[in-house]
Amino acid sequence: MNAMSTALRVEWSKTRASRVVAATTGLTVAGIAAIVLAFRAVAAGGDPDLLAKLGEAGAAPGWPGLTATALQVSGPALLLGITVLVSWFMGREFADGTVTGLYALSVGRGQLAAAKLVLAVLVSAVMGAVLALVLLVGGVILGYGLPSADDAAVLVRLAVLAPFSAVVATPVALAATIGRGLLAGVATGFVLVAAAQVLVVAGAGPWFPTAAPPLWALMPDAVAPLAVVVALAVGVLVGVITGWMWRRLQLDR
Amino acid sequence: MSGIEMAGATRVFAGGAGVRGIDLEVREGRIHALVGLNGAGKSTLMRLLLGMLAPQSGSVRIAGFDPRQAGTALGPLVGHLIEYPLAYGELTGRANLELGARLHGVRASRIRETVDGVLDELGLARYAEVRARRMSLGNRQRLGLASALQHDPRVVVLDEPTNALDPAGVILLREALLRRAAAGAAVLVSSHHLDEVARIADDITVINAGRVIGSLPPGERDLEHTFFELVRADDLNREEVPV
Repeated sequence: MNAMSTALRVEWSKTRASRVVAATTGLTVAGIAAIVLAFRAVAAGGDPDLLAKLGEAGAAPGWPGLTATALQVSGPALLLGITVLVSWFMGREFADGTVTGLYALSVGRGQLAAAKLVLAVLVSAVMGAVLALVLLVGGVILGYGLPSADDAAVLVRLAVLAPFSAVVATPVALAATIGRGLLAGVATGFVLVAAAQVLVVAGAGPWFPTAAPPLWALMPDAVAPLAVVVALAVGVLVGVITGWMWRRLQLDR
Repeated sequence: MSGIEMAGATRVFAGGAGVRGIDLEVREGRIHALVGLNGAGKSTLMRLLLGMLAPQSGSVRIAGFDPRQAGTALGPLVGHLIEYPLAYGELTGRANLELGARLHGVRASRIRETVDGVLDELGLARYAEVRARRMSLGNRQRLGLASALQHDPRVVVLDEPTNALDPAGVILLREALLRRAAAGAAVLVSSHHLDEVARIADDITVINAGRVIGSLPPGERDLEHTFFELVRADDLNREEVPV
């Protein structure tokens, strides 16, 4: 077994047993689904104030309204949940003091950091798939029937949005490493979410890496493929830098 | 020599704390105790040994390698516990040990046998299926020690290993270290007082204010008195007050 597969196996054993991962994943999915389905249920009552808040797309009846609402809610909410996950993956070793046990091993710290990031993306992929499934079931329960091909495509983009968001959330991993703990990562997550919202409003959204995933999910044709590539490349690059920092890490603070 | 060698190792932090000009040798087959008061520099010295810190000057070698350049070569050769045990709260005792065995390069086919062996050796068998977060501080420390020793490393580095251990745990640890030294391992343990483990050492080095200030003769009856006299004399002789 090579060092990277050992790193993945070790990190998977921790991830699988962790309540933090299960709770963050479950609460993020449940929170988004509850907000979206509650909005749809109330919108069905024709409340004019709520319909105005949801906007034209969100107020549309049936699947188009549900998917539009889901896209609006999921962008920032998924990113926020995922940044908490990424921060925990990296920062818990410092917070728990276990980082001292990660020296003089047959597996490099850079490989362990890479395994953590890979697992964060995989857990996020599960989170996205479950969210799409819950919304599908919710829509059927609300009486919308099965979604059309276009609406099903939105649900697929929602599922992909989660791992995409995890790739661009790597600055959180870097911050948790530099800050030697969880809070620096969590704080960076809030900054990324807020910055993405501001830059989207300012019109520069697709070129800001953490804003590219929700904009792509919302309007795939309006986001240049290069912007998607840039967002993914920046995420991977920051991940590589984080792995390098773990490899050279000194416990001098 | 493939135990531990430090020559003039220096690492000083902002504010003046750290270690200066440390010369230390731990040969294979010997137990070496590093004794000093709180803040004397024991943990910094051990962090230098394991590559957690890079020396500003001097050299450090462990199991024949520079720890900052060794890559993954040290995994099977070294076992250590510095400050916190490698014990994840969400995992059981057995799962934590399996994780530690994998990280130290134990072959998959030998992991179960290795883990079973150390669970028995350190009296942890009844905690094998208990999550680490449910264990007492002392049992988590035992778990960390088991993880450090289970792969029978050639070099063992333990920082204050008797912390939180009950007398039974101290005895089990003492016997485990004696067995490994007898098998040829170089063992370095630190202590802020001359505990039961330090008292079985073949060599005792005293560290104070980041420097090696002398050694104690193992087996002497009044070691504690000699230790405090050595530290007191050093404090009086130094121009600077330790940070």
